[in-house]
Amino acid sequence: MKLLKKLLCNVNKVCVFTYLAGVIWFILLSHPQFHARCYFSENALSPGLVHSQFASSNNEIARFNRYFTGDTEKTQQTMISLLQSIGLEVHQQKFAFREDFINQPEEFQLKNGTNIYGFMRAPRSAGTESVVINIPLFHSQPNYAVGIALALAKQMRGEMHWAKDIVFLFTEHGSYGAQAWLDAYHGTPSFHIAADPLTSHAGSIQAAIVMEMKDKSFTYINLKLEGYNGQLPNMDLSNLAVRLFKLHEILASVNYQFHPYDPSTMDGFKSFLKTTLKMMKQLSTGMSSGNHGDFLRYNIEAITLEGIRSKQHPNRDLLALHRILEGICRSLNNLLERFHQSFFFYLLPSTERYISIGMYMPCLGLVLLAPLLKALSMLVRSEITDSDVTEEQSDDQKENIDDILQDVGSKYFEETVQTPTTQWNSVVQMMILCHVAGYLLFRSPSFTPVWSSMFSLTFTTSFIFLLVTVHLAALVFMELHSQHFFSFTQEGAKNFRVASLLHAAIAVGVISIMNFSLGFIVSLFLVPVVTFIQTREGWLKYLQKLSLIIISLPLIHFYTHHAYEVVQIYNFHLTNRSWLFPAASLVYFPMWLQLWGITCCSKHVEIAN
Amino acid sequence: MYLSYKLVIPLLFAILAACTDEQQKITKQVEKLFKGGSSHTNNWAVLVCTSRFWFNYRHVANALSVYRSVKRLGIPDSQIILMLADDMACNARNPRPGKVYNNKDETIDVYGSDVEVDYRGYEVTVENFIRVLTGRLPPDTPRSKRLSTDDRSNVLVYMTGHGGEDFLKFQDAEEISNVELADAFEQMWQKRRYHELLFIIDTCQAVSMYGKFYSPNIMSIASSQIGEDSLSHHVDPTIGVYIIDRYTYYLLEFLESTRPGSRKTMAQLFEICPRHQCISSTGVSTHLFRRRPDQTLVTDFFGSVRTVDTSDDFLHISPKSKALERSTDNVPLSRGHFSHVTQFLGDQLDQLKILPQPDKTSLGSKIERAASAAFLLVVVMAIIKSLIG
Repeated sequence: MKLLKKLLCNVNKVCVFTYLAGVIWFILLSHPQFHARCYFSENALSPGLVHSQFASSNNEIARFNRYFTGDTEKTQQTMISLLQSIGLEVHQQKFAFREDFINQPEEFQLKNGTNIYGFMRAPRSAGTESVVINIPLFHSQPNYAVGIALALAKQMRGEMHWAKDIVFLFTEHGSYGAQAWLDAYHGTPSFHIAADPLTSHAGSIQAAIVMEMKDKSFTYINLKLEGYNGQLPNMDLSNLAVRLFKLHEILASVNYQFHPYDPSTMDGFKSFLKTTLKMMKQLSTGMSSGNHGDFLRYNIEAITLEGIRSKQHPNRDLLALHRILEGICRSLNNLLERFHQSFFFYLLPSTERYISIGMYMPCLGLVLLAPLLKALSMLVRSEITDSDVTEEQSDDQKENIDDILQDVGSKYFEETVQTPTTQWNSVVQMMILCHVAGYLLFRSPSFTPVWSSMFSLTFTTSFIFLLVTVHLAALVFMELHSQHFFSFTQEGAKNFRVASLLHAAIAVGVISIMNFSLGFIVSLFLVPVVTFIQTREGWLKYLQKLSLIIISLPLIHFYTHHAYEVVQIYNFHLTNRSWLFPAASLVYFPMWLQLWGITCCSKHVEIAN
Repeated sequence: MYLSYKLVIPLLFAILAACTDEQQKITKQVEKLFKGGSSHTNNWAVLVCTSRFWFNYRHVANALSVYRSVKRLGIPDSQIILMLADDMACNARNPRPGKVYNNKDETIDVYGSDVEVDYRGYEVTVENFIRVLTGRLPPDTPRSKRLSTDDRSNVLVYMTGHGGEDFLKFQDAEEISNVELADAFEQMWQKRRYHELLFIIDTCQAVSMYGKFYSPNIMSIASSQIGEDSLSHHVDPTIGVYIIDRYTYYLLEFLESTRPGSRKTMAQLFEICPRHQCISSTGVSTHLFRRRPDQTLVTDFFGSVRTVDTSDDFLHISPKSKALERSTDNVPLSRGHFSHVTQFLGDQLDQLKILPQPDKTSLGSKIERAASAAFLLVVVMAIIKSLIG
């Protein structure tokens, strides 16, 4: 009891302490002392034990690649004939999709695409499992990984130690092509893609490798792991790729950052921290960095290998990558089960280190402890002060005319009893109003055509203006009319604060369970504001309002503007990829509006109607 | 005539004496043949590989290599029980289909066309293993799946796979503990299913598996101590797996130079795979074994060697003769005292006087006695008649 009282007296200090502890813990996790080296959990992979068969050559890869410069139509015909000459079972899939929901006029435009896929059937096995090698075809330039895939296909046809079917998938239009193929493969249609059914299937897909090579040679390979909404592939797949790169002496990076030369120095620590933050940035947008994100949604572990060329540094030829791809496929061939041993939730400070969920979740717990403790302290204190007040009243025995009248039994006395339920009613009404505003924000983009015709603006501009207008409207409405509709007594204000704190903590907690990076970043700037906001007067009031404006949605987008445009984010939502837009409009915005409402209230001790 | 009679009798006696002398010499030779060596008459082997899956290739190669050696040294397939998951040779991942190698030179195919796997695939379970050892198999089990040993059989039990402290993992689904194994061997002893037993185990923490044995005449060798891992020897990079374990590699090296008539002893076998070669230290247990390891031949367990000699002479072997003595009977055990159940249940029941005593004299023996008595009477009568005149 004494400890509790002490806690309640110093709750602000405790909140600051837990918040800082969470942040510092997270930063310290990037120090090599506090995180672990990557290791293999699945022994069946036997990475790198088998030698490459050396059945291909640079000349062959270059010869294959020479076919594929130029327009897409001819490319595809050539590809089909080449794959058939290699001996694979070749099929085509046509699909149509709608990409941009804002920038197009009312009659929506469909884009067409064709996926080409070839099966190399397992020679001595039933073909119940398969591995996909996906080479996305770009529009503006060739993807030189096509040559590698074809050379590998030719080599694999001559070998009989493949226990799984290998699918060589050449997709168009980036993620849409992969999504179309996967939809048709698994029989799950998406509303924005119309995909033809597949004429042939392979076994159940165990893993997928996506390769993007924009140049004929490369200096290093960048590993891309992030999927949609914070999903990541099993860490063993990433470890497998990194191990094979090491064996063949190829430089590998994750998020374009390398393993530091000397991990134990300050530079090493900074490098680890930078890589972790970069990964979090990509994860928090909820968008995948490559086609592998689409595979990950079907529980197919997948990574993207991107070859980066730097003209100042020495380059490696494509044959090295051919051996790596073969090595990865050989290891995947050894597997009898899907990846299940290693981590699914992790952050990579470098290619060879990892931070598991057990290490980074407590940071979030500590940060979210601040608003929870504050809410708890306010609830408990109000009870304690209530009991104190009633005791005082009974002690003092102030005479009140209303009390005397009540004792007499007159019908003229006014009921001045404050029913506490009234205050909770107001709180709930306020919260509902804020959520309605959030829903309005969420639904507002459907009015974009109306706006653009009314104000003769382009769709993108009108979209942004629409969103900002709704935001400002809600803000101003709250400012001007909060006194009129909702007046809180001191207790009511307190309850509203408690409700807002709990709402914030729980909402951010739930978001971070699904996408830790997003939740953690939101909590970092939300928690200081939400913990200390209350109805104040004077210059503090305006300071609070300013701090709220700083963390308002438009400004947040302004800071992170270089990642994605608002329109793009909305399109991600509509194409069912990232739920950043719904989270921002339906969860964050109501929360923010409630906080704004707190700053708008003034300290009246009024009787509620 | 008189003279001839006088000559015949001493001559007869002399001949008789000479005959018994000859017989004694031959009996002594026979006894010398059986002395000092092992008194087993047949050899059996139970070779168990408890792992399955492609990355456990080396365990299958281990078991098959020992199988090859044991066959080469003379034990026939009918007396070998080979338990393998048998998913290596025809695995879809095997770049050498139908072949299993135990060395990266790929010179010896230990699978071949004449391998006989008795328990394959999912039949390799703890239950089947213990049933094989104790003989408690269903009546329709074919003879090739039975361990039909008797009290003069030397049995080699070789086990390999993944093990831990006090247990051995069977096919990723179950385990056998060292206590169960010790009890299985004790059941074998009580049912007189082995004469001497050599137990070799090549897994991690292997010493723990023989720690609980308590039956006599068992010698155990383990490839690693408790807390140590048995390591594999080398990789075959063209197949892409670890191809053989260290202990078995050096065991095979030892056995390669062993011929069926070899006089190599078990003491020499204990020396193989020292720590600097194997990284793990081997463990040996001989306290339950009654003979000395330096007097026990390797071929007593690994081979099927018969001591055979021919003679046209008539031999007299009594039940108390030294030839029937077991080499192990008179040697006291260094630890513990084990009392056996008598071999024939009838004797035990006799002592308890439950069953009536059987009639020991039969008709055949009566006639024999009468005939021999008659013959003697005739001879004596003849001698007396000649003496009288």
